[in-house]
Amino acid sequence: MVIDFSQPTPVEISEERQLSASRREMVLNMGPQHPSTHGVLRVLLTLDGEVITSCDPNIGYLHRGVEKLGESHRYSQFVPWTDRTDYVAAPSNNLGYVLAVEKLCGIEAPERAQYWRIIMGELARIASHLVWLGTHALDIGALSISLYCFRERELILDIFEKFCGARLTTNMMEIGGFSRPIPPELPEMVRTFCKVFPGGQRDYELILSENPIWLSRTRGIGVIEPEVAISYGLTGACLRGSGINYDVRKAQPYLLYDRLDFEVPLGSHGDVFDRYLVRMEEMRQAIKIIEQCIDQVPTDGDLMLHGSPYTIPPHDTVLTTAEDMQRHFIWVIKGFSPPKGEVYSAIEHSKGELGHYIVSDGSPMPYRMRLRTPDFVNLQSLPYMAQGAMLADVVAMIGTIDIVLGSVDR
Amino acid sequence: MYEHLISSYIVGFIVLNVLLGLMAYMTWFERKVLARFQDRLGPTRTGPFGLLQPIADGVKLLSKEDIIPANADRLIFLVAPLISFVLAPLGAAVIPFGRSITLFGYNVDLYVTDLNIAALYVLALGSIGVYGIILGGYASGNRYSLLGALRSAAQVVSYEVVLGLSLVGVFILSGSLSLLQIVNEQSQSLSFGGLQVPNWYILSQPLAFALFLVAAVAETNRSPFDLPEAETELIGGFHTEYSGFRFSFFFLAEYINMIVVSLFASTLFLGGIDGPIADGVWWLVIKALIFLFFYVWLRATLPRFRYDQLMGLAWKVLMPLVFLNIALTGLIRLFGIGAI
Amino acid sequence: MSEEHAQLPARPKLTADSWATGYWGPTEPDLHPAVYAVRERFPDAFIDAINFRDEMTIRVERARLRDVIAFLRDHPDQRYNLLTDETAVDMVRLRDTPRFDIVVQLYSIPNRVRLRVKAGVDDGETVPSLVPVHAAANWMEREVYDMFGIVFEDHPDLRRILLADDWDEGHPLRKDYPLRGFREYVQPGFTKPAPRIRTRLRRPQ
Repeated sequence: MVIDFSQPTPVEISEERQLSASRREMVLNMGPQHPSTHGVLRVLLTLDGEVITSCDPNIGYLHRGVEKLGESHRYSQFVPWTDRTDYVAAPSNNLGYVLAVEKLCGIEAPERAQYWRIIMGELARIASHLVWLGTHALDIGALSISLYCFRERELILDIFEKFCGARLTTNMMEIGGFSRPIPPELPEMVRTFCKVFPGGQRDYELILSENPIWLSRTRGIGVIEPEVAISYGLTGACLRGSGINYDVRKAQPYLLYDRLDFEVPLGSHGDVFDRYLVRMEEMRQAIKIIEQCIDQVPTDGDLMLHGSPYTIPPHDTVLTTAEDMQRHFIWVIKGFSPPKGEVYSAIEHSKGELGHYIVSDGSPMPYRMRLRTPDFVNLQSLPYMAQGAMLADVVAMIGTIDIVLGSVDR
Repeated sequence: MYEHLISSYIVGFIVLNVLLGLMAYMTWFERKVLARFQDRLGPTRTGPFGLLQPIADGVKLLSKEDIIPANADRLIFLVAPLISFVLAPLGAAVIPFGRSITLFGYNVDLYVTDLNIAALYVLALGSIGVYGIILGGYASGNRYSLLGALRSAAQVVSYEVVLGLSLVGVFILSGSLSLLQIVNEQSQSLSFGGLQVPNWYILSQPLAFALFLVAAVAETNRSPFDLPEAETELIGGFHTEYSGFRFSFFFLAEYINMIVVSLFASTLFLGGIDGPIADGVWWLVIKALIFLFFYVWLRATLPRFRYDQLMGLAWKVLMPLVFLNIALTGLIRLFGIGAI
Repeated sequence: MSEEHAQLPARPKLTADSWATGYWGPTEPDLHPAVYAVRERFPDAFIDAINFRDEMTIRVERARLRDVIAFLRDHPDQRYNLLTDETAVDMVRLRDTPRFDIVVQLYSIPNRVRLRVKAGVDDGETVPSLVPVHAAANWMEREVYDMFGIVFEDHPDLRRILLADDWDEGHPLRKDYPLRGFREYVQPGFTKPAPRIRTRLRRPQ
């Protein structure tokens, strides 16, 4: 196709919307290629001067049909796909998915694997929050924070790389535990990170927390009242910033979170600044959780549930015994068939409640795979927040919701 | 008569070229300093310490395609960067880079010209320079550019007033608008009981200096006042649609403005070429470098203001302070209190 | 816990220790307070309650879905105030009619208990929208409409959300929608479309 560049490009706004904007107003098409929409979010803004009169987020530019693909992949094949939904916190997605499948199959990972799952999940939470903080501060104009954040995030990615060889799309967890051994130097790396990270976090807080410009840009901006937050189904820091105490780790503990001592930070005003404080405190609590886990985790023991028809047999017995070799072959080629039924399993992802709803018809592939991604739901509150705000505030609001478009669009 | 004119031309030529060269290395300086603030190395690959990077950048920008958007206002779109670029270095014409020297028997002034309204001339150039931004933003036919242009217009109008009025105290003290006169006034040391103190206006006008600094950062559209080109809100602001060498004109103009404003500030408040030993242009360069470093430092540290906060700061905070400063200076001058 | 409800003798209640273990409430449907309350309040709309893996599912009539959800939100003992998820399942391979299930996941922040409410809907039928009850349902229902073609009554803004506004190939999450779509697509640089790969795995019919 030859594009005629001599003709003015038609602006992609429906006629109806174009007409609804009065002469005084201007329709601004923000995205899908825009530096601060964090990917391919497109927001149609109607501006009166710089004040937003209406805001309509359009999503779907990164839609890959993950739910449809889930219905045509065997249960174990879908784990890599979960990495690609929220790609800044891939281990958390792995965790949510494998917990759902394990619940469906009625199995549970060994204790050592559960501890390491918590560690990896919390590391992923910190990594995700660091990306959030860096980009959010960059949107508001603080240039250096993003590089400071990525400095610490590198250490987390190094840990992931040491464990599974990948830094971003980790494909780390397997149904029933971990399929890889824990490298002997990994606990030490995690400990080092726990020592180093608070110093880095102090840097960010020194630059931001008491900076008058940062306060004026975040305080009282994007306020969500508690009732509204519940009605919009917000979860994660967006809900806790409004002062509602709902953290899946505390409310409905999964893995071994009920054994660990940590606190859930709550905001009081529900504005951008409170959500910033909540996430900063969450990173501190995550370090606390990791330190407890690394002290409590058994150094020896299985990382994978053995003897179950739903899990992959261990590598050494596959090579030595005939039964396990056959089971391994069947597990890989045909997959396993969980019982008929449906489960909904939720975990506290860095962005909110990540739920997986799986309907099984007894075949090796899910009948229906539903990903309830937190940022898809949280993004709905953008028009509510943006009403009457200024153009520069919309950028701060998109940042504060903490979206990853791979996860919004799935 | 003609000798004087010729020497002015020669000095002007040298100043213009040195300024353009400095501008290129200003980008290198900014990238290097910013990188060190951000735990990075900055350019290292082109030449020693990346010193050839500005040249590589220039070659790249000049060889890029010059895209003119289909719904741009063509003529204005083409002219706008030139307005910015041509007006930016003109301010350097009145900065004294030294006093008169005798060279080959001729009397050469180390400044292009000594206007008796030099300070006003620099301020006026700053106001005209914004036309390039407004016209460029308007002519791009892009809503982001338009918003950037409007922001720029409002910002420059507000901060221009603060900038101009913050200098009134200096003018009252020096009794002149000529920069050479102001420098000469500042080179007279004051003596406080045997302690020699330079008569730099930063010491007698600290409030004016602070106000001038804030307003100058806003006037040159630098962070945290870089709203006209706030890349995270307006993509590129007024230069969203510009590419290749037209973009580089805007880019050059911004950096030249920074250098000129730094020289201007050094001259007005820090005594210009006056130094503890061996007065000369090197003192001016050192002082200007401090200002340039300050610019980069701000950019590395501070988030960006919001549009309404920016206007509020200018009219609600800086403006009363600036009037207070004028009133105080005037009263002191009138009743002859203190050494001034 | 209001007085008149406390007087009813047979009404089951959530206890504090049930939060820690079975957070979907009691596993026995008859002992589950929400099941009891819905059955009592909507005798005609209540179909049945199923428990699988300790998860309680209430099946209700399609037309009363919004009323049930609103009742569960406002009832002082239930307070299922967080709409966690609303989605649909195409049940065409599992049963004859109705074709779809609307699945609503609820969570009660004060009681820390989850609940699933389901309503069957056939192709061409409409479902009352939950947006008046929970604002969160807005985009979820748009997604269900986009993916399954189920129309919601009273939805403020029912249009496609993930797919393009002018998508004319139907609704992808229906089971009769091929994985690669109905249309053949020639990739740039190729002359003919890539061959369709057939999986050897057959679902039990």
